Amino acid sequence: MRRTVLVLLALALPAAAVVAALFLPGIAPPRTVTDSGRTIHEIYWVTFALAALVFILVEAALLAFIFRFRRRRDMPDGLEGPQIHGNTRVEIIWTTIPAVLLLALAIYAIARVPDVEATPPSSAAGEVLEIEVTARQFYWQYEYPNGAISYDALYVPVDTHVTLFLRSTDVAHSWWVPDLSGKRDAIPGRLNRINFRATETGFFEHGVCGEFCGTQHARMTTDAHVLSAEEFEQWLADNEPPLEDDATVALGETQWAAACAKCHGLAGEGGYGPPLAGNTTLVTEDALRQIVTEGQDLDANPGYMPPVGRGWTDEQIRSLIAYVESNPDLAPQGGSR
Amino acid sequence: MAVDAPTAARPRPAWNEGPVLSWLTTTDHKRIGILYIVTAFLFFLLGGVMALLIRIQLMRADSDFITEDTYNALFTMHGTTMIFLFIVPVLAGFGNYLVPLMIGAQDMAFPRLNAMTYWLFLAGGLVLMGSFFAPGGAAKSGWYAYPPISWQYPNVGQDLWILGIHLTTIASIAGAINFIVTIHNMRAPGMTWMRIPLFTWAIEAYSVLLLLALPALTAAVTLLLLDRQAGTSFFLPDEGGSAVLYQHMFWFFGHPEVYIMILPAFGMVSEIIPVFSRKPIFGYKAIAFSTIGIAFASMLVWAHHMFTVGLPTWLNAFFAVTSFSVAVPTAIKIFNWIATLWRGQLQFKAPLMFCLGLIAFFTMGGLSGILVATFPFDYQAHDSYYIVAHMHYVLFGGTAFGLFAGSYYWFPKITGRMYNERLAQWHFWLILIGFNMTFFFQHMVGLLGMPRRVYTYSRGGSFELYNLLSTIGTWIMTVAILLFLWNMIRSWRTGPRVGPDPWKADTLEWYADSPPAPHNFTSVPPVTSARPLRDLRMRIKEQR
Repeated sequence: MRRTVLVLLALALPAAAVVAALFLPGIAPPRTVTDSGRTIHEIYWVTFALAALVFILVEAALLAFIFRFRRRRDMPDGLEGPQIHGNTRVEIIWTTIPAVLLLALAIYAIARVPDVEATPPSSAAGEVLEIEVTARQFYWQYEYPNGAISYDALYVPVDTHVTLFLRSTDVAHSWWVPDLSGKRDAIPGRLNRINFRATETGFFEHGVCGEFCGTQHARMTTDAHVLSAEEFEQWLADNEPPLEDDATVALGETQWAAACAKCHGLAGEGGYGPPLAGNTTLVTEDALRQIVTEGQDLDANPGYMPPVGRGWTDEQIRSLIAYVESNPDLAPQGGSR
Repeated sequence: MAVDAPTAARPRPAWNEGPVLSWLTTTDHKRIGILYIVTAFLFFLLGGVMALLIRIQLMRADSDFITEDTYNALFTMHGTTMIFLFIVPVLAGFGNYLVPLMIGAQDMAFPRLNAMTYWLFLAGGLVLMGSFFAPGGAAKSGWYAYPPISWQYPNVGQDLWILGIHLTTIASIAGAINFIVTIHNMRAPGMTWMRIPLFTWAIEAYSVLLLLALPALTAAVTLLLLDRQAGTSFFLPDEGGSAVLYQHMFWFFGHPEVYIMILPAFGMVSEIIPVFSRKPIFGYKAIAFSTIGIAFASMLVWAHHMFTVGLPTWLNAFFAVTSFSVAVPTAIKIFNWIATLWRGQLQFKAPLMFCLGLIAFFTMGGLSGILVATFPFDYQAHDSYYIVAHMHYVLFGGTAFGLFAGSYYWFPKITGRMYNERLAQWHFWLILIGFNMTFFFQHMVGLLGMPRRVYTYSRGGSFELYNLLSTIGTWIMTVAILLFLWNMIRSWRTGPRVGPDPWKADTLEWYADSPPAPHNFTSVPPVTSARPLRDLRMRIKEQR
């Protein structure tokens, strides 16, 4: 009777801890709006359940033995426990059970991988939206099939297979929007891809760079907009180059916020980097191209600036200049290219 | 022909006497062990201060307590310090002190090589700490220093980091050779492989892993140095190199390193639990072979650190399965320890308390390890605070708890005095609370989307609350560590004196005096089992 109570109590304690943990925000990865993210979510819970079971049993045994076999005050000093050196049968049992459980888990997880990788079916060929993602210190650039560009904000249509092609022009980064799916690295010299299909529309913040990429790693964030098919078509059409003047300025504004402002401030007031407001380099096309493709002060530290615009097209240089010229805080006084 | 006088009869040259010089010139394994342990613990305090600064910065959203670059240098050097200057050398210290005593030897096989490893380690540590004062500050590309980021910044600190790693690596490799030669050749008569203490088994595995894994790190950082300073491009994709190659080389070292850091702590637990349960270890062979099993499997799992690199799925699956396979021998150890408690006479002294803490919390780290080895889930967890939590449950909940257990357990042997039990119990409970508070919530903040190594964040709510709790946890741990420090210092000077064997333990180090004489033993009792000292006690009892 007392033994039963002890066993139940010992089980109840870790079990209660597990149950309490279930109510904590963030106890599981987000359920997400994509098939692949939901599969990850499912795999997590299956593995978690198995881990929780083992946790409860191990901690219960530990607690029960701590309580049951504590030395009591009235026991003689030299008293020893029974001199048990082991038991081969028990060893075999507790070697086999974890091995079998882990094998089962491995088979299950590997069987679920195709749903995580979410490679678009061949029947969907031609309907897959392919987006070129370029990671640079310290922002994300998305380029769509019609040439439209967005910075630090991804736009995708709902119910469509999407493939992101991930590249980096400088150091290793990792693309991660937890509400969409898992992460995938963008490594220089490598082309990676990640597939997903969103089944609900929505606006998702909290996309980040997962791999440490330098000074402003913390500021390398991205939003994701999952739009209806019509909204997405509209967005694509609005952003298809050649852009009209005000659209160029609007694009330049997001470009400034993504590529420049994290170090130099939204109004060019300076921050980690020096103030840029009124700097003529910002509106001199050749000088601007040189500094964004080559960086600056490569041998000095501090004073180092990474090549934030390596691979920028002429249009990208011009959109940035257009924005700077339109912004009275940033534009040089009476200056022009 | 004249014969040399015996070494002992030679007059000691005056230059290596005295309280300072005798330590500077010592080749005694015990003194070298103490030097290692004390130095490593000082580096632990420095690494801890870095952690405190990191946590203060992350206490609130959008904090500007320290700058971006300072933060990046701090987390880089926190990891580097704790791994290369604390855990690996402090284990070398315990190994140095204990292995010759445990196997009934008079010293390590190569005493002067042994001294050299300590001074190289110290030099490496001074280079790494000194790099904070270099132009541009210390290295700031993370403890694994992935190129191109570690190539990109032109700061001297990164080159000093490479130099520091080289120095500590040479120390560890030479030390590993010394351990292996000692364990293979200098065991007391009768001490067969199935009778050596399990801590010695663990040091054997630690040494073999160091020998196998460290050269990969040495090669990787050497090539990195060449890329930085000699214009080569081994890891630079723009010029035909491969950034991923470095990752393979680094983790080929980096994952065995985890087991290098945990196996000796497991060995300590396997020594301590039987003594405080008054029972033999349950399944000696199972634990010894699981040590070898873990060491072997740990060489085959490195790419689970690279699940998101975009390796082929079959390769990820392979490394997931090998990673799972490490869990089996690890589980065997946990089960055998718990079985050792079964029907024991448990005495809840500090050494046992910390061992029980290790079982409780390393289990959590091990289980979250299964979760992240399930690579589809790792796509979410990778490089997030979930990993930070997992890794600290393994290295703090595992290794640090083991080290605290070992520190209290062998304190009377090393100093000849007993520590203060009441302070030690306070230390245990405070560290238990502080440790869990610091790292448990990091699991959740990671899955909410916090990547590791960010100097700031802009989210409030539970995201910020978790970070705040985590920071408060580090303050509780600080109090606990200060109690430990105070206990060690005060008890070393004023603790009650103890005899050779205050715990009624099983292994040979307790046959020597406390502290042991310079030559350790004048005689060694016959070894007929894995518990020669208990055998001796039993024989004495029978003769009465």
